[in-house]
Amino acid sequence: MDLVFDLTEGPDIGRRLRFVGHGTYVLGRAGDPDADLQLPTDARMSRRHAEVDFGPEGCHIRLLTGTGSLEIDGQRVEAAPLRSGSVLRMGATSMTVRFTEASPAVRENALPRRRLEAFELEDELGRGAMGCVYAARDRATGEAVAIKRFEPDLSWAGEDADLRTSANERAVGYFLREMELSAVLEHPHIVRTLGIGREKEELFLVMERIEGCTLMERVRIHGVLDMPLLLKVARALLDALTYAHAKGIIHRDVCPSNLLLAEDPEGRITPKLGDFGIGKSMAAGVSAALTRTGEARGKEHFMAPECLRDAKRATEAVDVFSAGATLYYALTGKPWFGDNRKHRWADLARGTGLLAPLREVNPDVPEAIAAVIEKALAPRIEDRYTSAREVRDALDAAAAALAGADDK
Amino acid sequence: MSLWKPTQWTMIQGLANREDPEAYRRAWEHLFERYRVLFVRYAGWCLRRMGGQTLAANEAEEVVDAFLADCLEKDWLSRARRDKGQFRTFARTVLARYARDWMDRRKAKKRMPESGPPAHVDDLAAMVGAAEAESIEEEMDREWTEHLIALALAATRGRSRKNAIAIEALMATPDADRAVLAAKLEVQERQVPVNLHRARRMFAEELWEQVKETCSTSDDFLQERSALRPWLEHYLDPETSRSLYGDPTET
Repeated sequence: MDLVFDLTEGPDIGRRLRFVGHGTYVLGRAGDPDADLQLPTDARMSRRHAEVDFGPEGCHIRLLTGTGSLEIDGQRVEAAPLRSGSVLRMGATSMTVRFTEASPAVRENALPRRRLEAFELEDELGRGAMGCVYAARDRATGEAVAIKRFEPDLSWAGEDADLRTSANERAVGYFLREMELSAVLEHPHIVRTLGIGREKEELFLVMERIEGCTLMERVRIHGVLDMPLLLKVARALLDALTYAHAKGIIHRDVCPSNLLLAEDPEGRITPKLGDFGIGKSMAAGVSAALTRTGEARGKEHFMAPECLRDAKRATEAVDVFSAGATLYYALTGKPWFGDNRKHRWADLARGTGLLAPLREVNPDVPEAIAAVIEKALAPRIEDRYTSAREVRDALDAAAAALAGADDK
Repeated sequence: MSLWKPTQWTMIQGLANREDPEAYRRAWEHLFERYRVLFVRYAGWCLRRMGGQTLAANEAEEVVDAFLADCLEKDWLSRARRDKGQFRTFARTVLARYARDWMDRRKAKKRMPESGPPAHVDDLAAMVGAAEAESIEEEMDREWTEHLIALALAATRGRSRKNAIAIEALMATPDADRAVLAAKLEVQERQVPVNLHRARRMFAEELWEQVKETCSTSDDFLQERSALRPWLEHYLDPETSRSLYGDPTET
């Protein structure tokens, strides 16, 4: 079973939060790294407001703070069982509680646990913010796969061995949960996850191997995309996000290096979005960011301003912004602020941003297409498209208008 | 806040004159061993141009070994000026002094002095003349660059055999056509640009890691990066050289 909260009142009204599988979850305002549910905009909520214990025998909630309040169905409580349909109120936020069937991957344990020795590692394909990706081959089947290896970031636990062990177990558990959730994603434009494993402190993912390159590499090697390819990439990316969002999954790390352009022997390109679920693990401090290699630099160029202020805060709007930033890059070879790096951080902190107008950087981009991408990049959430689907529709309309104009 | 991470060279500087002589010895020997062959060559050039035309084969090695021994035993590394932030310039300066000292003693048939290197002559030009000094330093820089490229290629090979093959093929034939490279890399021709892009990127990471290990600060590193540029451009194909000095914000 999964535990779902639908927020019906408060600053984050409309959000749906899903906790996958049994476990103990901390609910609170942003600022506590242990909190599983964070509502940063609710100032009346404590950082560690309440704890939910969700197990086979039932679901219980208890208040953790001495100053805050907890109400269930209008009654103030210190601790109480939660039932499907209960209305829970904490701080200024109300939410209804539901228990739902577990997602298919969790129910069927669809993501196989694998051992690293089952694969022959070939060349390293690259290093990202999360770890190294290798070309590999399944020794039993000969299947070509890609393996991403990384270690949980335990630096915050210091040198205390016990703390490191418990931190590691928690990080691994969190990661496995996220990966299983992501494994339900089966879409032609999403990289398939084939398995998952753990070798001592190291975690690894087995993924389908894509012959081709990333969007980042494509732009660096061949220059900016022409309009037909841009539209193909944009539609694929937005469809993948629409599909994932419908399943309640936010990517959080959409960027040109996570968008792979698979190329078949005839040269046909199929865009595929990778690294689902990893962004959330990264925000929760599960990953070891390989900053020593400088590889993580630049990721923030594609993040939404609200995500930079609070990495754990993620809604569909975060992915909409990052998709806009990715498409902006595909058309210009530059981040959305152009060369104006100096003011970037101050602007982002204010939530205003200083967009370098797309057509000033690349005048060949039709005005209607530029307008769609720039709206996706609105620094304030309320000025942005509300969903990836909406961006896709706006882009289609702009492309159709252009095609119509060309026909005349 | 500095983003500069500890390197082998900063670790050695930090360990000098500290309580853990064993850690200091291990760190110093580890770094020194990587460049020993180069130092012996350099000491040989210095000795010959200081007038040692009848130099025995092992004399340059003896100079280098004396340099290593004194670094370890006499703790004069802690007296080395901290602003000599690059291992390359530090080693070059001090080895030249050792070579000169060796020649002095050789001529006077004296034994090695008990103290560390003489501090009164810092400049190789003052020992052998400006033209000779320039020529020796040029040879040293050339060899140093070759050595760095070899180290970076070995590290690249450890991560990706294909990427190392790509860089070596470009070094051998900078204008090799796509078909030739595709055959060497065992990929389709249309995949060659992506393979070269990845190879250059990985090689750049490894090369700069090697250079960083011999620098004390980010400023030293940037200086060293600039100083090596003409030599790297000499050995590498133009596109690989450009990629080394490209946009550092690439993700």
